[in-house]
Amino acid sequence: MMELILAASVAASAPLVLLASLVYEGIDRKLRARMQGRVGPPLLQPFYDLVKLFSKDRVVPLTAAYLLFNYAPLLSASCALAGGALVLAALITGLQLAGDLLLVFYLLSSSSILAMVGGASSGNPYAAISLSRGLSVLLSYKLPMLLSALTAALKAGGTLSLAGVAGFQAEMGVGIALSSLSGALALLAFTLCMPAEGEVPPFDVTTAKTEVVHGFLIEYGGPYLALVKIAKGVSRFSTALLAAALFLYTPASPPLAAGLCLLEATCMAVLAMTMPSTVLGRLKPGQVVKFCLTVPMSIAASSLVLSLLEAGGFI
Amino acid sequence: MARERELMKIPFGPVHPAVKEPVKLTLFVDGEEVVDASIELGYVHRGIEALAETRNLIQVLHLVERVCGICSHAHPLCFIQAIENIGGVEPPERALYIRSLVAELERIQSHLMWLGVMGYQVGLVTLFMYALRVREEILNLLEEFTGNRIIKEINTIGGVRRDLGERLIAKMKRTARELRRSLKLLAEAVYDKTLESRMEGVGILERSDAVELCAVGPVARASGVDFDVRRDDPYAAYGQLRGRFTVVVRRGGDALDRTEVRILEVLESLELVEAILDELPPGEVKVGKPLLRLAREIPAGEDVSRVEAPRGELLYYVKTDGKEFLHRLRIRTPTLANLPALRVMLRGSELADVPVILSSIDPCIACAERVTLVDARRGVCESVSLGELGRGGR
Repeated sequence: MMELILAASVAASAPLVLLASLVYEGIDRKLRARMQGRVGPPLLQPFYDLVKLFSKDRVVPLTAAYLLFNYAPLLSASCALAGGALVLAALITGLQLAGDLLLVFYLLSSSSILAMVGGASSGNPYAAISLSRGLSVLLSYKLPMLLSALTAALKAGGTLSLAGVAGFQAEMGVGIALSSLSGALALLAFTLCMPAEGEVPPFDVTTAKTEVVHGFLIEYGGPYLALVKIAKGVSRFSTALLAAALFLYTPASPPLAAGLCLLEATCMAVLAMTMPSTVLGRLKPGQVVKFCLTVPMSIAASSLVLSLLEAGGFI
Repeated sequence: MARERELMKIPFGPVHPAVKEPVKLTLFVDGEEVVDASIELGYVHRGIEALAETRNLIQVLHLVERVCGICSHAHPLCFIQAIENIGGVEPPERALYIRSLVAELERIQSHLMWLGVMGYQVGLVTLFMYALRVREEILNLLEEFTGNRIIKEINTIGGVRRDLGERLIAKMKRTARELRRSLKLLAEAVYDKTLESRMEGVGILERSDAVELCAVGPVARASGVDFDVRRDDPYAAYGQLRGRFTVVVRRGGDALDRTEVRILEVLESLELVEAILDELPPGEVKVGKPLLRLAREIPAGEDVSRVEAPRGELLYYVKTDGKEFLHRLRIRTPTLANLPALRVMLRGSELADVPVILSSIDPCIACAERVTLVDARRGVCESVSLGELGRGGR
């Protein structure tokens, strides 16, 4: 019975996550335009874009590996939607699913890799370079992200379920990031990696227009591009939602708390992705890897050590 | 033991977001490292030099105005100087000052546009938006003075076509003061950590290479070549203004130095604009004779003229036939002079640096176009020599 409720709530959450991610994209584009002194597109532009892209014909290059090129975008979007929906469903229902924290990480990473591999299967050299850049960057930012998520799990009594971490914060009456130094450090490390997950400047090396001509997106158009855009938008928003759920959960009854988390996630995404992408230039792939493996990595590692010491009663 | 490396051939253009005009760079890369590069022109050749030989002098003046959309004052100025030299026409001093004024305003708008494009290349679209907004102030001034934002059409044989009024002089001075403040903001954006890390030590051009490959303009000056036509071979009013500006020179030769040279040159140009407005001599702005008669009186002769365009030394060779027409017009644009240096800068760089290096020479491809004959069946590229061109074929 429990599994059935959880499955139903995940299925029901998927469109919600998609909607929220599109709304965030609209806000992001408008805000960025205003900061640059432009008028910017209407708030609903991402919706219009998707409708337009889905109404176009599919084009597959002759050099592409058909199966991979054709299905990777769909799989990538599904993985991202499932990952986001898992987080939202756990927040809405409060039902604990052992290990869903790791499952979300797995799904979001799969979504990124699938999109890149699908693009690279087109046979375009730019997409191939983008894939090799993307994989090294992915490894460098996922590690500190995972470490900071583990810090939150450790502080919540060693549970790897999202609802468990949220429930712990509800009991405490305050979010993990606000209750201890290690929690705050973990959130900082997580936030520093968010532009890399969202592929926005300064970390947008895989889709850099002037360097690799949109990278793995180069041969995708129409419905394929729409699906990859959905995958990217949803994983961008899901990461922010994950951060809100893990570190800044506000105690309230589950549905209301889920709403608050959505709001927090939007604010976090604006702060961690929209702002840096407006004021910073793009780094080189080597610089991105070096940054992720030094700054967020050392912060995340120290937060984990701190939380271990706290758990052992040394501090 | 040296290992044969597998080099990946990456086409960078002719259509690529990093190059706004069609030029084909073929990059030979090993992973992310660029081992070598080849540059091919010829996609937007317009045959302007040949066209000029079929038009009269006044028509050619309007034609060369359209060689480049950004240096649309430098080209006619260079051409008209050659014509005036051949004909012995001496424009009044006020006209020379106005020519310098428009040249400096053009340099400011060109460098600002370049700064924006550089920001765009490294993913900082905000800098692009801000730089182009500041540039708009200059374009507004140019529009108010010449009637046009881009194609200014201010030069004529024996002077300039319009005079500056007192009201406009006051407005230009005010704008120059405001621009200094906006420039400070832009310069701060450039010295942002991410931008600096993208340009420092990137695309280094040694002084010896710059001299050997005949690099010109800010590219050469950033590599320590202390040369500026305005100071070393003064034209228009630059002889009288010699003490009012300094030539910016840097020694590092990387993209950051080229950026610094251009930003400081904008400040020097603002100084010059203010100096010209202060010292503007009274009098006429063109010689009294009608234009058609002046054109008819130009004798047969030849001359080489050069000016410091925003991108560097621009050179014109003009040969008149004494009957209002040209025997030969030869244009050497700064981009053409800087392209050989580009190859040296690209060698050993990272793939991610290519757009930055390419932009750092401020390329203007359409002006630099040359004909290359390509035999697709044999896969051979050949250039046409001047002698063959003169004979009208092989």
